Amino acid sequence: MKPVKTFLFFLLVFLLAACGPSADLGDPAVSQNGIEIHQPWARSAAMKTGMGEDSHADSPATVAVTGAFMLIKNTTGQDDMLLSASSDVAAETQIHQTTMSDGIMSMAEVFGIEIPAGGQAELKPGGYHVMLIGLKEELKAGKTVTLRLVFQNAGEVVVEAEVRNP
Amino acid sequence: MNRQTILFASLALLFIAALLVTQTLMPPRMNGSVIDPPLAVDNFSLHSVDGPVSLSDFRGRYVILYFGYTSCPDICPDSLAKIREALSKQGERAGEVQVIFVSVDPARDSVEYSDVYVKRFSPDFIGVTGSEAEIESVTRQMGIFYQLNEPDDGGFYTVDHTASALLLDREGNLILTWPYGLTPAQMEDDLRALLRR
Repeated sequence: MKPVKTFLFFLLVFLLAACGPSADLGDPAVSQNGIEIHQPWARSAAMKTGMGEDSHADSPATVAVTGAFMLIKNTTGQDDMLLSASSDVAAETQIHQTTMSDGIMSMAEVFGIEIPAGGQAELKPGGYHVMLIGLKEELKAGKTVTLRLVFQNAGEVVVEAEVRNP
Repeated sequence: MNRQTILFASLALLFIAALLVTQTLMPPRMNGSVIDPPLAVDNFSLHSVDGPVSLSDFRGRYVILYFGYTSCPDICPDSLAKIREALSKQGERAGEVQVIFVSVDPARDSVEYSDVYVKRFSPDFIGVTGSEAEIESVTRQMGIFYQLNEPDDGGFYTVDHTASALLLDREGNLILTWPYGLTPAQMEDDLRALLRR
């Protein structure tokens, strides 16, 4: 019986280790003022100009849009907040939250994203994302997009997000 | 072997046998929500970059309808990517399923851009849209909700919409919906069960 118990003990230890919150994220893409940005990426998107009937450069119909995602860790002992973002590839950048209610998806701009002290905030489909509105160039997979993130405490953090296909 | 062991073993065997029988005879449990009885969908016609697309064009094949808009960088691409992944596991039989993305935002989504948007997921997907009235006639009969929100200062607006994918059988009846949040593996199982029919 004893070897079985020992085996089960180690199996349990292994499973706990595998499920633990310390899942290996690798090195952060950026670490600055206690804020770590992990695995930043943006969704590839084509331009709209030259497509369809409306060719006015600034009309809403020709504005191409995409989103950027990442994991933000706050290693400080103080709550922080992502207040805004900007990028050279987009005319405007907003922070959005997607919510689901009775199977209906809504997406709206939010004031910011809180990153609790010692905690993290995940920007992922179905939750938060950085919204890039009015793309100035086609975002092709393999390119990188520079995002300037502004935090309440950590200040400006610049990160390179890899463009990936959907 | 004592009597107790034999009794236990027989019970266990009986249980396994019963399980196998119910598994093969009962219709497989779907991960999506089954529409029972199936809802007959009136034929409709929308527009793609290659011309009109009617539901009746796909008789004999399953159709997956997803309603969204291309300015959605979040749920829409996530759902389409998951559907693609589930389909890619069906091998040759994937050809018996047609995925159609319907843009409910024709003011911003031309047929050209709807096509470009959807082709980035798969060259086999079709992107369609139509006039407001044409879209209404499709969404209303299938219980799809959508609403264009107020534009912000820059003129950008979001669209609230039902995030479920709809599955229509080979005769064009609505038989299953996939709520947002199902995994590709769950969709894959549902598709496999459907394609066996």
